[in-house]
Amino acid sequence: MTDNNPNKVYYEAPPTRPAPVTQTGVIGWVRKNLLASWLDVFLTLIFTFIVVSAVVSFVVWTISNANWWAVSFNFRQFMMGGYEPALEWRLSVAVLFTVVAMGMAVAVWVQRIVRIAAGLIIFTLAFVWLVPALSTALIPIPPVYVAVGNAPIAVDNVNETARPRLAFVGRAGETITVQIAPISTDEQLAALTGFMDMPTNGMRVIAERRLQAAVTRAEIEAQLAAHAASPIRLLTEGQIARLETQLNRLIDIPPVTETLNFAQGGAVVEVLDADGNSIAPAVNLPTANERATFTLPADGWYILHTTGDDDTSINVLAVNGMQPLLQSSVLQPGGGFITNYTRMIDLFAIRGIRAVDDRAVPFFDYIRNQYWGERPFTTYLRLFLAPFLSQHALNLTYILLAGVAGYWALRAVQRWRGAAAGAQVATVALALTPAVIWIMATGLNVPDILNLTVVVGGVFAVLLARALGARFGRQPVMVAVVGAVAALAWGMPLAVFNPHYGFGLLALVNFFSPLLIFIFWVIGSDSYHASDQAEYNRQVGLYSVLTLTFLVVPYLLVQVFGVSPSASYPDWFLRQSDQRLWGGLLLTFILTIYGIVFSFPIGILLALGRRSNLPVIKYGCTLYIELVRGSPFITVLFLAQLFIPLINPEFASVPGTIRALVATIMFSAAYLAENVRGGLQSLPPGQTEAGKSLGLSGWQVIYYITLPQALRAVIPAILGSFVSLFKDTSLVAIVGLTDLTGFVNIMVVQPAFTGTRAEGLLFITLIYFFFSYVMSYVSRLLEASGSGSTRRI
Amino acid sequence: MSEENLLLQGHVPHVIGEPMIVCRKVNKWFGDFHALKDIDLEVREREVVVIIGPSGSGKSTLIRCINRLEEHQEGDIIVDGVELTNDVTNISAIRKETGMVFQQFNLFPHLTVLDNITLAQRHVRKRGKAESEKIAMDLLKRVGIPEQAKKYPGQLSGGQQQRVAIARALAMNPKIMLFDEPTSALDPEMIKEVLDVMKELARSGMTMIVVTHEMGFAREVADRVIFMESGRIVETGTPDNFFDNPQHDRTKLFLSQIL
Repeated sequence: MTDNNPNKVYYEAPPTRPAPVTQTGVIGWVRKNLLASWLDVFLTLIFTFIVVSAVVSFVVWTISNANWWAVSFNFRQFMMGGYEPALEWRLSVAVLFTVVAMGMAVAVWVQRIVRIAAGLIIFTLAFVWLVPALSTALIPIPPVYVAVGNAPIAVDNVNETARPRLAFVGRAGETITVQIAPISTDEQLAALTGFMDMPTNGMRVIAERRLQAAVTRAEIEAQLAAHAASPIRLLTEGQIARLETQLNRLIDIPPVTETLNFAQGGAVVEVLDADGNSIAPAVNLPTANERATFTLPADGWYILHTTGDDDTSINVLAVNGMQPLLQSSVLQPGGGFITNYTRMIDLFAIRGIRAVDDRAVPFFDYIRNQYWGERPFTTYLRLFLAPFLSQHALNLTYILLAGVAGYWALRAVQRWRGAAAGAQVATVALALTPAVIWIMATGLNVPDILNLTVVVGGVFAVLLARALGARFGRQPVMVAVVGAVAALAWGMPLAVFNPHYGFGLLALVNFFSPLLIFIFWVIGSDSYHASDQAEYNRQVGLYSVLTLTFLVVPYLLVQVFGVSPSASYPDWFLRQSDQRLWGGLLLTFILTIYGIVFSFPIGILLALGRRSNLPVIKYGCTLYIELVRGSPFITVLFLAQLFIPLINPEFASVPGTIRALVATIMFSAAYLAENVRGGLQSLPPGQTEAGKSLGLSGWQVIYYITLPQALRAVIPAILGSFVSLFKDTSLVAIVGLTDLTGFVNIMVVQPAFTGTRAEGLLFITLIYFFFSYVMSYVSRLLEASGSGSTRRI
Repeated sequence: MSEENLLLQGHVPHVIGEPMIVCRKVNKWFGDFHALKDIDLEVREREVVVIIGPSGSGKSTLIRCINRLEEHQEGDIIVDGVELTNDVTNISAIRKETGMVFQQFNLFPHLTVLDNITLAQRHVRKRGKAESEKIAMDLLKRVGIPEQAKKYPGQLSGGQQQRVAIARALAMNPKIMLFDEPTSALDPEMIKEVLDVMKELARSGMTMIVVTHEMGFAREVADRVIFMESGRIVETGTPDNFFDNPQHDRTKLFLSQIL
């Protein structure tokens, strides 16, 4: 095809060429971001050095030195403290319900994080199932080392005898493989790492010290020789004297392996059962190349019985399949202690061994036969990470699947009944979560149901107050009536039920009901003039009947029908759990969740009160807020511990956990009040004026206009203070509660885990971080959804 | 100016009825500042009163006193036969009958246009959802923006917002409308659309007190123009008399500066 257009100019397009190689790709990125100026280079290097050195030493400690069995052995305590094991299923129900509700919330409000969440779930599941499976398949459990031989092990200051009998716990089908460790020189002995008994460790330490001394001696002698050979004086007289003193102090012993006739003879090995009967013929191990293998017939105690070939030599046996045991005493529900022996690698626990031949057999103890030397990464995987993951993989899977199930259940509801119904279901589920957690954690038995009846009566009393206010207005006579109703709601349950039931929901309701009744009466009186008299007459009548019924029925049940609150009711009634036993993450969560739930209304009321025109309310609220904000949380905690019994001697039975909860609520409410007040103050006064000019009452202006806007404006601040509340609950450790932080202090008192504070703190740091991060992530999602900002004109 | 010319300009003289608002010797202080001085004012049913004056002269304070957004310290204010006292009952009765439109619109930013208009109807007038929404849509049609009902105030232009604010006040079926500089915060091209709505309202026989700087509007719509200065009513008159033949020196000076 020819183009005959004469105006067309033909020319060659200028050649394109790629950007210089130094400006694109990795090199470009590095030049631009790391090496843009000398200062950048300097800062990059400095910070890389700091980060790398910190991370490397940290990771090395985590893998090589940390004792993670402290965490895995105490995992239950970390999660729920001493919560009664019989009621543990209730916590599982609460957790699963919460996760289902969260899955529903994701389906309704944050559909866009579904991909991330699914990815995380799949990754987590793969991690917790594959790592243990692969480690178990690929990495053998490292052997433990046991000294054998009839000669006394007396070198330098070590004075031990090899124990011919050592008890251990095994499970059916496991094999025990015994081999003479190929150790013939001190270098090999010093390089030994693993669990070893005390004689072996004593020999290892001496060998290590001897080799170290040899190195030091060589160094000093080289220095002195250099001084002697040099034409100028390299050392002063004092330095020479000091070096010579040091030289004399160095231990000078012959090699340990030679002194003790190491690996000169063989050993005879036999495995006995708990009664001292041999399970298989004894095996003679003449050299390091031979191995003896025993297969255990059943779960239970076994005894490794070893004897030396002759009376002069010592050997170290490498035993595969024998695991260190942790001896622990457990309080029995019926009283008394039992002693458990727990195999650390899989937490297989068993009772004590019977004495054989009237002599207690020493067992391969976790405390005395510690892991010596640095662990390689594979050992870390096989001994710590894999067992820990496989212990919790199933529970974690259930939890994650519950979240997925909640998500899909809600999607089904959405398809079936539409988006609005889905949102309703998710809202109800989320709103029920605190109630479900509370009921499951504390229980709901006959006394609580009676309590609840009174609570429902209190709710109706509040509604009655509102209807009365609307029917009769804010008149002095009515003040007296409402006051009387409030006094009744406050006084009667306290007088009638508290002596029987102690502290429950009841006292809390009693505490707030007069306040609520008063407020609702005022709210009701605001609709005084727009009232439909017949409607309000009906409401007054209905609520009067319901209030009296719900307040009187429990009274009749106890006083007339003799329902006893102290009788024992079946467990499916959800009996009351002992709140003093709450601990760990459970306590941390209870304090956080109910700190938030209860402090929210109180904080809003305080904020409104501080902006009130009535001086008594205004300065009362201001005084409270400033007092609490002006004192440290720890002080408030101590005050609550001491003051609650002073309010009412009945409250002396209130457990410390509930006292701490009250302190948390009081503390959080003051901060929340200031946040909400900030939101209220950020609103232009025109909003209130516009509401008033439309005829809305003061409460209606607050409820429909200012409060919604104020709360939206301060959502980020409120969530931020909730995150810090979550972390601040750790202070209850100081008033003697065993929340996550408190338990670390208890963990390190256990003889088996002295010195594992760092492990415990690191573990709870991860837990705190995980939940704090989730909370801040949710707050960021809320902000991004626009809820955090009011739509300004 | 003859009757004929007035009609040509669109000025329909209102049939004035009974007194709706009566102010007698009203005094108001902000701290030591004497904001209103012996205000005597009577506004009758279906009357349109425009208040003008330099800033700080107490115009806004006067109409804010009429629905108790500000409290007066001396004198009587009687609205629709109810005296404004500290009694909450009287205040809410008066506010129910008094619509107010603000310079800054003061729409509720967290509610849609429709919810802005239905909120007070439902909780003060106790109307049902359907009824209040029907009234709201009728009013939105009347102010010319029914298509904006589902939007939030922040998505509307200033003129549209002010028209929503007028609709919101009208939804309460007030007997009196108070306008506090309704066009001062608007761009010039939006002023007209708001003034048109107000003119229509005046024609329909609403009792109105308007604080404004729109002299054209005052001349065209007002039955009476009031000039205030330093918290005092300086001059009152019909628009023609007021603008063409001001009596007071201060009035003359003010008019010469703005006309």
